[in-house]
Amino acid sequence: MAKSLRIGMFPSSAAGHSLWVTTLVLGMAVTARGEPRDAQAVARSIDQQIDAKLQAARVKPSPASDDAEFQRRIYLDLTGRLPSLDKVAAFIDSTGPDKRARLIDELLASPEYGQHFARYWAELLIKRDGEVNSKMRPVEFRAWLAKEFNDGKGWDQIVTALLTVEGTGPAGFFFRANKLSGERPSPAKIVGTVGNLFLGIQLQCAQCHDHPFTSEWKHDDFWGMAAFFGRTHYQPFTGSREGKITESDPPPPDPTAKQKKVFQPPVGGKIEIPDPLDAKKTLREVPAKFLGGPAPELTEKGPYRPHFANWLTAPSNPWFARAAINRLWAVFFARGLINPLDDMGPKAVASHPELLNLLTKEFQESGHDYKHLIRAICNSNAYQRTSRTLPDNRDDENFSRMPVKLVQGEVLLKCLDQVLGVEPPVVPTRNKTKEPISVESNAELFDKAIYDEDPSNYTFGAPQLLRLMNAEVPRRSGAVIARLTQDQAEPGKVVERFYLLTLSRRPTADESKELLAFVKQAGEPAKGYAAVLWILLNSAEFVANH
Amino acid sequence: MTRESLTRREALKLSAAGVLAGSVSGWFGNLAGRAAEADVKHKSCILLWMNGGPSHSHSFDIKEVSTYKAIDTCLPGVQVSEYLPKMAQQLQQCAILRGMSTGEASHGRARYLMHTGYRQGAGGTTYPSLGAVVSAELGDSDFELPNFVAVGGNTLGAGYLGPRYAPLVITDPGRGVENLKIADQADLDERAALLQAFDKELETQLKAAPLEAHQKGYERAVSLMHSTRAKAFEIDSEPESVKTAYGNSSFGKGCLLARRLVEAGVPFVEVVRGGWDTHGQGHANQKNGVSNIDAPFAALLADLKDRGLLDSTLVIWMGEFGRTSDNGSNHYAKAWTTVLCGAGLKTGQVIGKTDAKGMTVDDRPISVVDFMTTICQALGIDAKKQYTSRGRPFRIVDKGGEAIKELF
Repeated sequence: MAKSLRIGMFPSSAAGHSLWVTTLVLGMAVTARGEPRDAQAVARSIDQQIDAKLQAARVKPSPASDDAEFQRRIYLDLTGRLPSLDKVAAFIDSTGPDKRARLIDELLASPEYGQHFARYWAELLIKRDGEVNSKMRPVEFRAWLAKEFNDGKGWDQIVTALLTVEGTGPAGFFFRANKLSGERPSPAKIVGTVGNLFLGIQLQCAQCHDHPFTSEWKHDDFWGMAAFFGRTHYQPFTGSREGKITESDPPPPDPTAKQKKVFQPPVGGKIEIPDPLDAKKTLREVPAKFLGGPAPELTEKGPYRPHFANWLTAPSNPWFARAAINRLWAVFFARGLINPLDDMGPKAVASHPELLNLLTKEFQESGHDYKHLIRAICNSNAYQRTSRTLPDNRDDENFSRMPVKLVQGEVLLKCLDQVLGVEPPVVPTRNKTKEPISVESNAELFDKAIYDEDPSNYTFGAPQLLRLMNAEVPRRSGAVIARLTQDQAEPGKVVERFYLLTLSRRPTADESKELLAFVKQAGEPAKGYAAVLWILLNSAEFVANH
Repeated sequence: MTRESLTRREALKLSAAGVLAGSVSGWFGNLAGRAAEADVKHKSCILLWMNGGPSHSHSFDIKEVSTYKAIDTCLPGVQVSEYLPKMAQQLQQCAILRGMSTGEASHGRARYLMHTGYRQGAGGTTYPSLGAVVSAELGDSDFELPNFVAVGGNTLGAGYLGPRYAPLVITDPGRGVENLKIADQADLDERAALLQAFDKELETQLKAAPLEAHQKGYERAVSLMHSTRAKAFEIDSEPESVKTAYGNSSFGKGCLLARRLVEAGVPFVEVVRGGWDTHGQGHANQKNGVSNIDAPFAALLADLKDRGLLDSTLVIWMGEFGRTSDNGSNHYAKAWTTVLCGAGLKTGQVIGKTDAKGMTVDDRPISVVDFMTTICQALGIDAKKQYTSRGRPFRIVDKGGEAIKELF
């Protein structure tokens, strides 16, 4: 059965079940494995586990979020966008009993879902390593990942495709990004990344020596894993040949071209362990060996990576699904069931061990179906609680309320574009005008989160805030103000539109009163509205996903 | 009418008219008091970062094989390049370390190593650059100016210390902080005061640390707009004679800005001067670089000394490595030179010696950890101190380093 999950053997069974694709019961959908599974039942199991622990700790959970809070949260979490002005009030005002479940299904079926999770994973997989990857623009890689997510591919299939890529496909970006310098992917770097992201463990500590923090894994274990990537290299674009990731031998050198030394891949599934103290020396040679497992029979010249991917994604490997689930939980709840997300080794203790186990099992049995688990989590009461605190749950860490996350980086810029309704102005370079807006583009300036950072970490400093306050918002708000006031609506209506557009809710009576007084006092309405929009876009609530 | 019954709007009007104490809002109220305490209690550091790797044998460690002549300096028996005539007269304030031996000769990795003291990727964490460490160790978190400013180009960030200690980057020292000045400051203050009231309200409901950080960030940005100390970013206000001494180059302006910032209390300023990656016409381009830094570097040291700031300011001159001595064309990290100045160190001396070709260290080799330990000691930072990141401890400087005792 395990084998039938492997890529290549899977589509036949999927095709057989394709008639099931329409949703049967709300929250029930065909999973990547091709069988319908009930996400609502999983949601109820989540709540049993969460509520039991809260009860034991005598913590009273915060009540359910209202519809406006839920709507903004689910849009940001599943699509990285705000609800649009023409939809936002309709959801708040509608009365259907299952409207939340329907919205979750609608967003999971939208193309923005795949794009959002592709953005999340691309940032982790193509690390923004200032020296090596600063100029890498993995647009195609993100497009490929987005399609995989939108098509409902199993996580095991996606990771297998990523790790076994041969040729020129966009999945090859992963290997090209995991290099130290030049173009050759570094087996050590790949294994470190695979350990962190797909196994949730700190293997790289054993890269240079046996390490006290991860005494379970030895120096040779690390390099035994690295050996599976020893033949993988990048053959750059030359003449008519396209650049590609491959394990095959390099083509014979072109006698007419001046070529640098060509990498000769090692044979026999072995790797030399470099001496950490002297780059010119090696310590010894080790064979390719699975972590805590056997050394498989490998053919002389590979490919080795399919063996690795099979081992990694097999149900018998306890780490793979657990790491994915823990990370997925953290996407929604700002922290994992085990933290840090990439340090889930044998000594780590989960806050809700049974919950982690049951979600891991569900994930495996659904064919590692991301959408299914997302649907389950988002339909739970735990996910749908308000982020507002009760008198005694401010510091609770058992999910008695929704933690506040921050809208940052690219998502924040996209939300700004969505509100302002215009593309940001092209940043002029210094040669073209004497007074440039800035030398640094928005994308660079706001890309301040560091690799795999806690989503509730606030990363902006004076340069970003000054740009928002004094340049971006004032310079770009004219168009949207004109658009929302062209029907001569009364000021109260206009302020309400601004709230719906930016904060996805209506203003309270007090807020409305105060802002209307502000508008009135400003003299000209356009100036007053500009101030209101400025306040909303610079507010803590705008950058809060709460 | 009691204060409690004032609407925010009314309170704003009254405070703008000067009726209520505390200025427009609490944001600006406490700044006035703080500005009075002008004494800087901590040491400061200016890193003159020579990006690309200056050739030691064409600057501070001239050899027989060098393309340039050596000239005498104010230190008996010590010679430097003929293109460093002004620095030759400032060597009393300098310790020239001719025995640097670090081993990393790839730009990116060497830049990382010399900024953090650690090899890139070691231990699976991102290490903070020196500026972030100094910012965390010596900076005041309530200080109205940034604690780490990088001038003239981007630098390495705060790594595991987090964005609080990341640099404020000034791309063009002639222009200062971007978006700091606006036409209608009073109008902004009104909006900002209402924004603050709204944010406080949300914070009461959500009690979330990130929202507090957002609010604090805006307070600091608005404070910076109001701060009299932000004038430190305006180098144009310097007298002509001072501007002339530093010169009109971007590096010269950066050095002047660094002095102004240190004077205003900023603990770490990095001034980046690129253009040292001189392959091909190696010696000609090294000559341009060396001539370009001579006047600004010398002016900075003289100026700091005149103002009584040199004893409390460590000035570091370095790149990521040196260059081969033939004509300065190739990267070389086995033997090279850095310069330390001020901070009460025993300056006016040369420490270490290379062979006749400047290719091996004959005497007194200095490793990366020795160098970093020395910097920490000069600034009063405990190099052995540990930070915890994701549950694992990291020392400011890795084990095995010894401060250069000749300097203390």
